[in-house]
Amino acid sequence: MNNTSDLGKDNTPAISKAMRHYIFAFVQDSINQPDNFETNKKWLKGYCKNEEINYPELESDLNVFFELLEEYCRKGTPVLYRCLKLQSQKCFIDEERFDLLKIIPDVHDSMTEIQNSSARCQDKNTNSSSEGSGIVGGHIIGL
Amino acid sequence: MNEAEILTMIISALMWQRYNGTIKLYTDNTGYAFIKKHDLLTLWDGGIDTEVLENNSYPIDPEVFWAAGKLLALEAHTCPCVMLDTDLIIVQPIYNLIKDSSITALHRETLNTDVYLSPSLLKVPNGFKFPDYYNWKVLPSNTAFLYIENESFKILYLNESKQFMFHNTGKPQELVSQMVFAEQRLLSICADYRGLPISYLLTNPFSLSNDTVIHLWGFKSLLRTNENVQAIYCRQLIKTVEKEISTNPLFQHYRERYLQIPK
Repeated sequence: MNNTSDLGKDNTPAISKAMRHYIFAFVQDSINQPDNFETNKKWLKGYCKNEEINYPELESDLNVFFELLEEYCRKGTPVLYRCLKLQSQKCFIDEERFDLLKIIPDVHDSMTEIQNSSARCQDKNTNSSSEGSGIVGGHIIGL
Repeated sequence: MNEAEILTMIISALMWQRYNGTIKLYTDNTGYAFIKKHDLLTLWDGGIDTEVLENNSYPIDPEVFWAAGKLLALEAHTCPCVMLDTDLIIVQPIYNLIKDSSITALHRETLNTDVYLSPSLLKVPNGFKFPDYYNWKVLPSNTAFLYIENESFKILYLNESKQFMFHNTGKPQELVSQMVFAEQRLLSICADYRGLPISYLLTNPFSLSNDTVIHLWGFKSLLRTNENVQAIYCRQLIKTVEKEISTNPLFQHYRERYLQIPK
């Protein structure tokens, strides 16, 4: 047994506003114009180099974000939406900007479910039995 | 249990031993057979107990009180002790977080009336009446993690819980209200009655400042129905403990079979 742990320590690097703005634009563009993805990645790499940000790590976090996004668009599950939001913060996209992405699942019924669940989120999110209660500490494992 | 749940259980047990000490599993014969089939009999360094649950003859309906086994295990174990769900991973030493408290639970829950029913809506055994001293305004506590220091408090809590659960076979419309009352709300009510403050590991379960806990919680249902999400989750979780897997003999034992990053 050891009394120290590296897990859970906040290792999030500080990044500039411009970099945050670019990442948001990168995600937005990747959603709307998937064809630009590879070109945009080159720009992202350049930004990371300038700001001494670990690019492979950010790329891996963004890949998880896009994988979750794809699943969310297919299934529209509220828990998945919360995970997506959590993962976006790992990619330096704050809650306000995340909302601007206006992510809507392909499944129509799920949207109603999301809206209902959002309306009750204060209560639902902190109940163990709630369908909306997702993973706790997902950011620790990069979700 | 799917692969993600098994992986979580393995890492939970290993991380507890890594940072917090001995861990013991209470299960029944079916659970034991499952553990044996998956070659996990040595995962818990404190051993596996099946006697407590198998030899129990309490008149508790397992369909209504599906998590009563946790309370029976708690009854059998001497305080101070921690009760830890298998879908919850503690990633830090927690001695400093619990040493000054009599009771520590995972986090508060809100009094959502769909889940935490009013006393008039709860189903009770024949002749049962809720004691007048119950404070129905206190917030329930999520007991996926529960530390109790004092044996006498544990006995009070479990006695109240048993009085409610025994011969109480009325099925709730949903699956949870009877169980969460017996386990989570009664804990807070009993602590309030005793004047014992409950500490919490997390003030807000979804706060990004949480650096202690990973809890699958309602995510389990999503993992059960979505293989892609399951793969993402397993990959991320294994990556998180990669350092332990490559350096710690405890983890290495499970490396080949369970701790490989899925493609």
